[in-house]
Amino acid sequence: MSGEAGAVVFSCPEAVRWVEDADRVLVVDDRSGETHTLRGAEAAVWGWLTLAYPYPKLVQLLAALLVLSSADAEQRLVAILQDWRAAGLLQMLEPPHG
Amino acid sequence: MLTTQLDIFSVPVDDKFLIYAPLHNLAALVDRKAARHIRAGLQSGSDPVPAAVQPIVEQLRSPGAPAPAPRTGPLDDPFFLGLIPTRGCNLGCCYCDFAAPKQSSPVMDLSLACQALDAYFDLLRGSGRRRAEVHFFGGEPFYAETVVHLAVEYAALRARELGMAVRFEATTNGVYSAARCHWIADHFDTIVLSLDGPAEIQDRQRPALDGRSTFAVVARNAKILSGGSVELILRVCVTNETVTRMPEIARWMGREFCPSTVCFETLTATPRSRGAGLTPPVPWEFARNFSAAARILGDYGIETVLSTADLRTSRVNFCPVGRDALIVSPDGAVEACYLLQEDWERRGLNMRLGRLDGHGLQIDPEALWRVRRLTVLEKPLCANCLCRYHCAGGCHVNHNTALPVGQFDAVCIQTRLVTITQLLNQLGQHRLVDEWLADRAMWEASAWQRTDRLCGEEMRV
Repeated sequence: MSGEAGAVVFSCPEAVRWVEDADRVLVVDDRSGETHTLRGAEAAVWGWLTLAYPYPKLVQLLAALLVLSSADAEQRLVAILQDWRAAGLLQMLEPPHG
Repeated sequence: MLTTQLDIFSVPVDDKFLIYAPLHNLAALVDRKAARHIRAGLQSGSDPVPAAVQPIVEQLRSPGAPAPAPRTGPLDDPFFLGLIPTRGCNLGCCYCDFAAPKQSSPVMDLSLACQALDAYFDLLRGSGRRRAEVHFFGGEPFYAETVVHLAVEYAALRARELGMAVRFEATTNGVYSAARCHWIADHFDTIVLSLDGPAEIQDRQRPALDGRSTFAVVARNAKILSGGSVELILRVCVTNETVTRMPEIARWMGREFCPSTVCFETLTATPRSRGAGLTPPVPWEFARNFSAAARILGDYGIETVLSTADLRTSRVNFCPVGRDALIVSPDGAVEACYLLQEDWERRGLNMRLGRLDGHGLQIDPEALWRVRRLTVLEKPLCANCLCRYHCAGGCHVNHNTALPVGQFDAVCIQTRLVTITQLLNQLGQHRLVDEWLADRAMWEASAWQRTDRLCGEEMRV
């Protein structure tokens, strides 16, 4: 899985796997054995990242999903992505040069 | 005589009679003498009958299930909410005469999709319903995929807030990336995938807009869907060219994929299909190959269906029309039918139910009443046909039923032959099916009967 955030590209580390359940996404980090349960908006964003939506589209979708302004939706999206980065579920790739 | 006893049918098959009572859940193959005894037993009410037919007569004398009836009362339990993200499509099927522009059709606003879902959930909540059902149609719904990707998540979120269950279903051509197909497999409950057969059939009948092959992508996605928890229904359009290949198509599908059902539907002739040299198959040839295909698929545990001869339920409506389905177009119109307005208007029909606006669903009660009356009970052609509670007259738009009783067309004959075939196969009469369908005089005697009603005055047994 990978997705663009502005000029930044996120991807999922090899060791991270996930499965969609009825109303949640279970994300497992093989390195630590930790399991993360994503529900609601977080589960939706995870699904949209698997579809490789670009960052502006993610903001638009999240705004529509939660009935937020674009600014509020972006703030929420940034927080979600930061949490996932901190938990090792996403990693930032170097943007391509030249 | 009970009213449900009017819905007991009898059809000659060779020197026997197939007795069929859908509301009594009974099918039996009997000789002429037994058929007479059964009819006499029903007409007399409670007189004793010969022991050999007594169990049949007793069952038919019971009230049976209530006859299916049109919907009445307020709009409080829609069949489903249908969303049409776009009328556009990325395929150039050689039989498709859909008048909407393929590439420039409008796309539903994301906000409109959410409004439709809000209005639908409000309606369900107001009437105490706990289950929601959202269907996606097109064109090709995934040609406007963002609408689907949002609507599914939005509906799931709303359902969770309200403590409701929600099901998702889509009818699709299967032309998208593997990642997108995985998302569909994870999020949908049922996918109806159009796949007409192995590569040369699929590519002849369902090429991309630019004429390129679609087979590899669709077959790959059928495998992805086969491996997921989603129910997969494969829909095959059968033509004059492919009818004799139905058993081969069935074997291939059974071997390669894991559908719950393979739905064989025959081509609806259009100027475009005629230009491509395609016509609907001959009814008896379709029935013969349908029977063979069903046996092959049955060995894989897969059901075989022709939508007008689906014996699993009794109904007065063939399709969502009349069952309070609310189908929202990209422009916010709410209709009972997912076909284009010009299609149903050409048939003199008005399928418009209302509009979606900032205040929710504005449904015209008169329009709802008008559409609910579109049932088989209003179709003279079908009055005495044993298929009436399964076919229910077929598509309102594509099948003309404003004909005198029993004046069947090719669609009727096909439906009647497949229905009789399935009933005989259910009775284990496989050899009789083969012999019957191989003998023109024999199957014509069954198919062209003007009334099938056992107790109708014109019935001859």
